[in-house]
Amino acid sequence: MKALLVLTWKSAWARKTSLILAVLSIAVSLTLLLGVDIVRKQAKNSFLNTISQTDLIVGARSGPMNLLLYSVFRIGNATNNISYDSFQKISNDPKVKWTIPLSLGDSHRGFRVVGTNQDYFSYFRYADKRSLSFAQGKQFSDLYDAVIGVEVAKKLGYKLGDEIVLSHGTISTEFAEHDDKPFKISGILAATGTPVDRSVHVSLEAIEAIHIDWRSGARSSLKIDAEKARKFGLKPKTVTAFMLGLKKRTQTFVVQRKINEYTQEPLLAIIPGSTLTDLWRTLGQFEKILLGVSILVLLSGLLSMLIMLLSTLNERRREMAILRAVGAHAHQVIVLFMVETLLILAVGTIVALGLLYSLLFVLKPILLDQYGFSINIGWLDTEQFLMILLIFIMGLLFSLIPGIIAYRNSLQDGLTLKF
Amino acid sequence: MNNSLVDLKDVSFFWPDQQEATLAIDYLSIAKNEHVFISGNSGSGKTTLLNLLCGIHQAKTGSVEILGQNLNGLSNQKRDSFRGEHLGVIFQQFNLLPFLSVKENIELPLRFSSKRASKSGNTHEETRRLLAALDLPLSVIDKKVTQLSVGQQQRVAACRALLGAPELIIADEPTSALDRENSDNFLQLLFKEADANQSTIIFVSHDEYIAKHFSRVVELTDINKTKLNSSKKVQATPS
Repeated sequence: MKALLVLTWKSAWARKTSLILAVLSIAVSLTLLLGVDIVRKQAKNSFLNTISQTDLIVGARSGPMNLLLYSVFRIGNATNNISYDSFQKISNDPKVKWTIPLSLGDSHRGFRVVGTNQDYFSYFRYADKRSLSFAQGKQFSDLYDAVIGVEVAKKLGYKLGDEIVLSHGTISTEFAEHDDKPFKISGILAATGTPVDRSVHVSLEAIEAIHIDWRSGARSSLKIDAEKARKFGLKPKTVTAFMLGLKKRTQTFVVQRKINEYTQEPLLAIIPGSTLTDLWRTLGQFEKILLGVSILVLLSGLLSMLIMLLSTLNERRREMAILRAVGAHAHQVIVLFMVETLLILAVGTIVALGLLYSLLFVLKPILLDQYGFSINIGWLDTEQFLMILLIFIMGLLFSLIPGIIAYRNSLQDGLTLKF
Repeated sequence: MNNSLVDLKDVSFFWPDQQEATLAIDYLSIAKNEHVFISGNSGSGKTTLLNLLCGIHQAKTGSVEILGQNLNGLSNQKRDSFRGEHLGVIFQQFNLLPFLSVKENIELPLRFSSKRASKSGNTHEETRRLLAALDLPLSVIDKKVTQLSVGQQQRVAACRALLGAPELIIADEPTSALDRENSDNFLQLLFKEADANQSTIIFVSHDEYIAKHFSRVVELTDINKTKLNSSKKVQATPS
């Protein structure tokens, strides 16, 4: 066996140009496959990690996807609000540990405005139970204070103390600016890689204040300026949705049913984890296509290796005849091709891993900076190891094709080759 | 009988799907230490005979005995091992693997047969001795074989066939690419070394000129009784 290893190595090295190309084609396609697999797993992970520790999300009755999209991802709009009264009633249920109210509908230069209270900063969790922290400043204390996400600060170049004007509705128009009541930035949150980075947070009272002189979506003729507004009773009348944590997780279904059967107004409670999974199943089709394409690329890499091996068959006929003459068995001819394939695959895999990790290290800061997408660089998971193992098995099966052809040639040619 | 190294009896060989035997030999015996020249034109069954003697192909009938071992009764693998251990083979040309050095080429059989390796004793010394015996400068030992002349390459091939003193050396027109002077020289050196090893030589060629070096000349067309052969003869003879 050692004899065959040495011979394979020397024979292969003599054909190094085509061999190196085969190694590269395996390496590049394997890098693609592993890269796509890592990115899709991390994308799924970061998607599913958008919120954590929240047992239920409650909103006006509509579809669960819709509720999830506007409350968590800040995409789309609620069809209806719910009364502040209902929110308070459910918050005071003894089974409920905490709630975070969300009042949506306004925006600032394309970024959504979230009306909420201090509980947002205490109870909101994302990823693996991580809580929000401030990069600069602190949470809102004055009525006209705003806390912005890191992406808002970066894109718009805001710093602490800057004044911003909110727009009515989610599309910014100059006719619907709350320009009479500007806000001051009191804090900038640290990056989370979630939609929080793209949100502007103000208090529920502030939402009331800026709408105090508005009636059915338009400014009324009765103008109340910012300072006067402070004197009004700014108790919120509605919220768009709220997040809810229970004292005991096991009661999730009980509380969910209770909210869904709430009689005063039609409410919908969803379990964010399961709805997120449902949503990913719909959105996740693209990742399957991507994985499919990279599997095909890898297959073509294996095929190009096969072509390389087949193209050398004729020039290697004499090599086989000489080896047979000095006592090599015909089946050892097959082993030569298998060993050569193993060599290509092993070197290809090592090159691929080098390429993959270099790429990950180079792309990590760029992805985080440009797309707020954070990748964890770790060792390959079991599935990825199985992929590599499968490639080796497939490669070895492929190598049987030239191996068996060479075997049959060498049986037929015997020792006397006339060239 | 015990003086013979090779014994062929009632041997016939058919290619798959062929009605007529390519080779049919009733009897051929070659004694130990004999130098036999087997002559025959192309198509006379030379190649087939060589492949039978080397154990690459298996006869359909009869027995092919070498050193008292009937190759016809052995499995493919055992015949390969037998060849590696007891036979040295020299081709017409391109005997050597271009990606190995001269030394590695000469010692190639030892990688496949441990018995041959133990017979060769101190391999390092033996390789050097053979190079010198075949009139090759010691400086070629680590050279690539492609840097050698054709004559030198054939002598390296002879070294490989002789290493480990195999009982039988089979040569398939090894001098066909050499000029007269080189041929004579090559044969002389080969014979001298084979005699020292007590190796038997079977030499196949159609070059009648070199037949004079041999103690025995066998005309293959005389012993090959196949009809294919005789029909060719008829065609060749003008009526």
